[in-house]
Amino acid sequence: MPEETLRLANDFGLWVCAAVTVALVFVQSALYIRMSYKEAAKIGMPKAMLNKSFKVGLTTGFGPGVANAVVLVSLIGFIGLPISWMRLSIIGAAPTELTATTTAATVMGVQLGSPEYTPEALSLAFFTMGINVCGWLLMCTFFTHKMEDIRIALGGGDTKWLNLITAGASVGVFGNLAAQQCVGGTAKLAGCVAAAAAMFVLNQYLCPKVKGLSEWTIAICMVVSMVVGTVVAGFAG
Amino acid sequence: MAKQKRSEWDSGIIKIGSSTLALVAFSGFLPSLYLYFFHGVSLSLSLMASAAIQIWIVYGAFYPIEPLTYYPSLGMAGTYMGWLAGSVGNMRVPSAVVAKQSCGVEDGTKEAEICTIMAIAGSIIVGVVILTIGVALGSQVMDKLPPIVTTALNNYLLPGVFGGMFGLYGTRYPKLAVPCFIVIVALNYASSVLKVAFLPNYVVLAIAVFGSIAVTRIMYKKGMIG
Repeated sequence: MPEETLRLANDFGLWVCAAVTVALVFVQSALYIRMSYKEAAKIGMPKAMLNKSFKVGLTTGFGPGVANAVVLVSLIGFIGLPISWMRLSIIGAAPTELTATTTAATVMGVQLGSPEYTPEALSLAFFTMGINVCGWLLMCTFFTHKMEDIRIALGGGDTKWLNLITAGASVGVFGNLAAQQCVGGTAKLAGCVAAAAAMFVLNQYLCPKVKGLSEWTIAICMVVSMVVGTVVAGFAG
Repeated sequence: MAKQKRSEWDSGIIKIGSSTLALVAFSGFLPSLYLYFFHGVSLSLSLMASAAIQIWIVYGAFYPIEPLTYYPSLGMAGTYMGWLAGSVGNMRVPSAVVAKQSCGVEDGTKEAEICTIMAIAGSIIVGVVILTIGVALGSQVMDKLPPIVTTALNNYLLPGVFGGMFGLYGTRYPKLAVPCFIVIVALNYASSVLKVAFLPNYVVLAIAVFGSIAVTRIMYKKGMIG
């Protein structure tokens, strides 16, 4: 990448732009947390449940959080540190942002990171990433409150069925995500199956006996998968 | 269906959610606007239009399908939070599901909604803090992690999350999960390995989710589930 583009990609002004977006993420969480504690007091829900749920979020999010930070290196070479920080803090994982960045480069007729990667190409990459995530953001801005109506319409007033829709949707969503991993190679398949088995053992036998273990189930499954996947990959060569 | 006045809680959720998402959507353009106004880097309308159209072709179908499919697991506030911060499948939903289970709350209740919000907030904060530390330390630290660890993180963490989450539902609803999973694996094999035409990722996702809901309905009506 030309010196000028690289310098611009790490410009102080871009850190300010990125900080605005990251701050908004914290603001939203803070406002919702405040609402939750207020409402919990109103309905007599113990504060301990809110604190426990928050802790679950911390422990469950830790592993993927570290993984997300590691993939930072894949982006910073192309779009600089500040905007990598911004983009990975909000909707749009590294593969999505790399796709958007590559698309922009193709439209400019240049290669990512090449000597021809001008400041215009960089700016178009920023624009393309921005316009892409607008799809999810604006969909949810305008239609989230209507999704509840859709959910109730699907439920037809039957609460049992309404809850089962969630189960059905989750089986579909996580079945699909797990299946994508399973067809991705022997080591990934082994990791996925091991994690599912670990979750079964944890839920059926261990969590009822060990207090607080249920908060760590996903984190344990991640470690199991990482170990099994690495071992199988070693054997598979 | 009678239209009911929204509760104060729901109105608050919607106000915070829609305003923060709209602001973040706009803030996504700040970098380009900054480069234009402060460094004279300009982009033609045709370049922007071409890039926009091309990326919408790739991801366009995901914009409505993904939020809709995750909505039952996240609820309203969870949707606003999850689609702002991202990593919905591997961080937000697992956090919410485990929190609700850990607290013993029933899905669809106010308590469940609150647990979801707190869990997702925890995952958002830990994620952004770790990312910020990573950014502050720069690429040097990332380079120092042993390759076996970075490889494991890059390749085998996601199978762990998704295998674990599927295991959770598989344990609760085996009669539903097992046959659905067999079909979904076959679809994914056809789509990504055999590269069958007319079976792009978002079609497989839609079939997986809406198909599983349909099977759930059939099983519910026959008394095989719930």
